[in-house]
Amino acid sequence: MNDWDIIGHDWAVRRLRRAIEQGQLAQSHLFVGPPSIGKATLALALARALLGHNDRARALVNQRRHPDLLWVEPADAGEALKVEQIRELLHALTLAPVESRHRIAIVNDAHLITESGQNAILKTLEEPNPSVVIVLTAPNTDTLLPTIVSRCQLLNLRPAPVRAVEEALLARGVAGERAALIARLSRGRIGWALRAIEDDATLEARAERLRDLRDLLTAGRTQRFAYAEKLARAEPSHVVQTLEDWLLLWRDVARATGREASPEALVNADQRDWIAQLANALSVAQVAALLRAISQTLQYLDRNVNPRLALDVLLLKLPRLPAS
Amino acid sequence: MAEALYRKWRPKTFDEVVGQEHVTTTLKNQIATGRIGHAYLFVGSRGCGKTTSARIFAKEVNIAGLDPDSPRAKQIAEAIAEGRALDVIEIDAASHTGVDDIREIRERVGFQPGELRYKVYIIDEVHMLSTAAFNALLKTLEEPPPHVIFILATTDPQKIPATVLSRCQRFNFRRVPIDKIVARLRQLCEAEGIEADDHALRLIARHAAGSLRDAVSLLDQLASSSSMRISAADVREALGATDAATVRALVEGLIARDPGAGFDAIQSALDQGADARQIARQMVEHLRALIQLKVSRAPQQAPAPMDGIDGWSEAERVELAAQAEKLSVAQLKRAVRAFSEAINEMRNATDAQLPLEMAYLDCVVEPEGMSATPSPQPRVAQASRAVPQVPTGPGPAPAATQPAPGATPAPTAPAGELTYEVLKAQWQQFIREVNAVNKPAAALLRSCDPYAVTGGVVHLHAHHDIPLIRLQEPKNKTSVIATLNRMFNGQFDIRISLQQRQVDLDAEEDPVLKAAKRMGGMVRR
Repeated sequence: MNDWDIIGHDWAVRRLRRAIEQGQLAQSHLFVGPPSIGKATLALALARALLGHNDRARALVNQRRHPDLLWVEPADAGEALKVEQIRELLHALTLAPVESRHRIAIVNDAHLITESGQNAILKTLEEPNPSVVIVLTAPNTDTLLPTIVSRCQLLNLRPAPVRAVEEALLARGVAGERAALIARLSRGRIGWALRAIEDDATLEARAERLRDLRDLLTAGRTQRFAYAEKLARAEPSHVVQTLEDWLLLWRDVARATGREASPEALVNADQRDWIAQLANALSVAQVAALLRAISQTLQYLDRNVNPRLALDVLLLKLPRLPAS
Repeated sequence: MAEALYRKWRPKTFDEVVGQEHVTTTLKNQIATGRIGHAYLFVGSRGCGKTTSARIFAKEVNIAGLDPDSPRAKQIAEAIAEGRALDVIEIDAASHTGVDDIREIRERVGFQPGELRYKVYIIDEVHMLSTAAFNALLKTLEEPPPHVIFILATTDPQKIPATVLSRCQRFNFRRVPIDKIVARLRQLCEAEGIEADDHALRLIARHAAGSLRDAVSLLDQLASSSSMRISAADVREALGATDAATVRALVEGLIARDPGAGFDAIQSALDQGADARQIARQMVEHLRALIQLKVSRAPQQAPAPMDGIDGWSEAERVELAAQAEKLSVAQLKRAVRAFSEAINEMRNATDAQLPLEMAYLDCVVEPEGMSATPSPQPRVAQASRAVPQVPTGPGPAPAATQPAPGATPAPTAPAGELTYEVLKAQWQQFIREVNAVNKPAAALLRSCDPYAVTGGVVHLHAHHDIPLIRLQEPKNKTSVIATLNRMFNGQFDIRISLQQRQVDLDAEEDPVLKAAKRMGGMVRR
């Protein structure tokens, strides 16, 4: 936790703060990092630092209703950000600030801007009005035009160290064991961790998915096909989540083969015994092939392959273990 | 609000433009001899000086013939630099893509310049114009009035119609070489009073990949945020790059084929704030250097790979050579491919660590099917936990001197080092040794094949699940391990797994096979 109330990302906060203090803050910023890592939170904190001269202004920024804060994101989650929205923003950025010295534009999920929209914003990014600060957020720089990236100051937000997440959770009164597990499962994505402590369903769903996997490993083809059929009918996001949980589990198994793994090295710390058992029964090559197969299936699903077929194939590739 | 450094230090004369001498000399000569074209196309990747050169050109044609120190020339130069000269019109084609915008230009082109000699239209990001807009521009571009010059600039010449291309003089801007970027950064540092280590500047330049604007932006960011001298560590922190130790640990893990070592190295680098994508990039770069070292005839003279992210020092070259020695080109190729694929996969992954770890795992694991063919390299490096070789007592097991039946000259095992070939050759002998201490265990071992030896761990393939289960029993496991330790003089562990084909075929309850049998099919294994 630091002065801007942000968990992790200390160096990024330090960097922005110092730039503001020295009057050297750049005008165009690009925050990149995986989902739920705190890009928008950091952008909002920057806006608060620039616009929040009193409590009222800070409250307005937090509600995203400050007149000098322009918040742009796709109208529907996951949909494209239309070039009209960008043109509107560019126009708004030519106007003088209403009540403070800055106008701040935050374009959340800038990678969803259409290509023509991205091109339209180029010139403004390069030479904006003196009062303007623009912040774009995106999962990584590859999803944006290189010409955009090179015009912005890049802040690459990395997953927070597991320990930092764990401490933040402990500070919020989460019990020790649980905090440690959630911190590891979050893989440093603080937003994910905070959602997980509020909603027990996240962890329960994961436990169930792992139970399913355990059953499937000893099941025959008939049961596997039945499971694939059931899973293929579920929400696509649920399917993806299932496969991602399995990936992490097999990653731990791969970690546990060969030499001894310290407990900290495992993500699924609560499954230590099972993981050791699997690591014993399978060779590294088998586990590696399985990891490949699962991530390949995720890619297939992303490309709209028939989910039932993709899952059938994947489940046939799962090794069959003797029932214990 | 500070003006970005790359704007503040935008070059104002052709001589200041870095790394594009082939363009600037030609343009200078054209102005000096008065052979000025009416339409130019500047092509090049981001941040290499297209817009800058266009503005300088606009200035130079308008003050040509004037004494550059005269008040008039200075006034013009200033007006153009500040963007308030009425006759230098800069158009952002990306936000004015339509045919109407071009029509507006066409209407105004006919008017004489207000105060300068030439009207210069700079159309930036010109590839974004619509087809209709391009077509509307054609006639004007071919035969503009004598007082008009067009300069089109783009990063993407493929999107420009051939009819436009053929009407312009085309200039290709190159990526700026690393040394020139470093020199320019050094200049800026001196002018701005920024202190920076040479190594830090080199890292910045390396990362910018030929774009001066990227390099200056990064310098700007570092200068405004680090308190004192900019060090290589500051640059790494900003980029999420890791230090040489992580890369070394990963490559050594590759050589030893030790999955755990890589996982640990990756985890600790990420905990220190490195970016998984950067690590993958650094690995690709390092492996590429190794390949180049291996394939080049005179490794000492291979120039390019020596220019790695840290600029290899002499000591590192020696280390590189040692690493290159232990890896085959095929292995390196596979590794480069795995890590490049990981970079691609990270694009969509929520968790960038996983693709990195999987790439590493793929490099460590022998691909299926290759396991039977002995590779020229020692298949497996020695066990990391192997005790130092102390040839006390009876010395190497007697087996080492007895040629195994069938195998012509049996490879001899140096104490403390066991490879797959050695184990395979002495497998029968090994079973006999086990038989002497534990008969049931030996019987179980007859249903197993050695499969691989990695990092002190012997992997066995069981033909069916009985040896798989029974060999895990402490009594059997201990005697197998003890015999291994005695025979091959080390500290070993065993891992047993089922052979894949045994796992899948389950004729009793398999619906496909059942159906096949009913129709008179036969199962072949």
